[in-house]
Amino acid sequence: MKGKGRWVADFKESFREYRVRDLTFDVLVRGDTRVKGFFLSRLFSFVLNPNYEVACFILSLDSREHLDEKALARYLTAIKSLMKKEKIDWSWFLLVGTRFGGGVKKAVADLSDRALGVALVDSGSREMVNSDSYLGRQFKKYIKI
Amino acid sequence: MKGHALSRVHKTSLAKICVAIFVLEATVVILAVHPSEFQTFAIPVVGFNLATSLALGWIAYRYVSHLEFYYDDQGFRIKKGRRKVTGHSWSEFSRVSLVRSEALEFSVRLYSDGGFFEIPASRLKLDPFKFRFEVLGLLRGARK
Repeated sequence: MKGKGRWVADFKESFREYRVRDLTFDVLVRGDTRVKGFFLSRLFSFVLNPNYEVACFILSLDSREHLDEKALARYLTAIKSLMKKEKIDWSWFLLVGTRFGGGVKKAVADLSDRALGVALVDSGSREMVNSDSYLGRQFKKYIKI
Repeated sequence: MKGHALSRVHKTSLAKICVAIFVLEATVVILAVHPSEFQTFAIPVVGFNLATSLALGWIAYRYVSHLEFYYDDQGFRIKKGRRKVTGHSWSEFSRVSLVRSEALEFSVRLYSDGGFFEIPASRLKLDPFKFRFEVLGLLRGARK
């Protein structure tokens, strides 16, 4: 990692081109919220941190691809089904692209699922829209455009 | 594709085994030799322990934990120590991931229907990030 990092979770496993049903995510990283380390940090983490299974899905759309509300809903359904199957407690979904319609941005902003944070980054206009849940609002802290 | 054979010494494992043997030998010396006698022969005894722990450590490392890895576009074969040989073809697997252990070592994990198999990329001194993409390509090729 280069530059400043911010601790989000202990991510241990990463997938590229991860397929869920007929959809493909460019990146999926999985981990948990319990910090590992030597004796004291391990004890501290065991006592204070909940051990949630977490995942971060990343989808990068090139300039020709267009994402509409229906496609967004399919991706969200795929994430929710994987979360249920793999017993993932929290997930983040990051979409990066240039051609997002106003409808998709509004759909992301209106999402309020507590276990799923969604953020949409428009690299053309350097604008970020995040969902209204706690995990969604956290994206503002993590992502600097 | 031309096959690749890797047989690199993992210095950390070798060092751990050598140190373990040295500590064991030193414990025996401490228990068996009286301190006043030890002072007379300290340098030869420590030298002997050092030499034997290096030699025995090397033998034990080769016998127990040295990894030999061979792969081509059909599959791979991994041999641990002198005995355990495991081989698989790429077509047995459907998914690849990169896994980081608590010791900050990376492995490439290959998922099949029945579970997964890990190739210890860091221990083989492969670049885990490049190797993951290479394996992704080999899996794609095997599926065709």
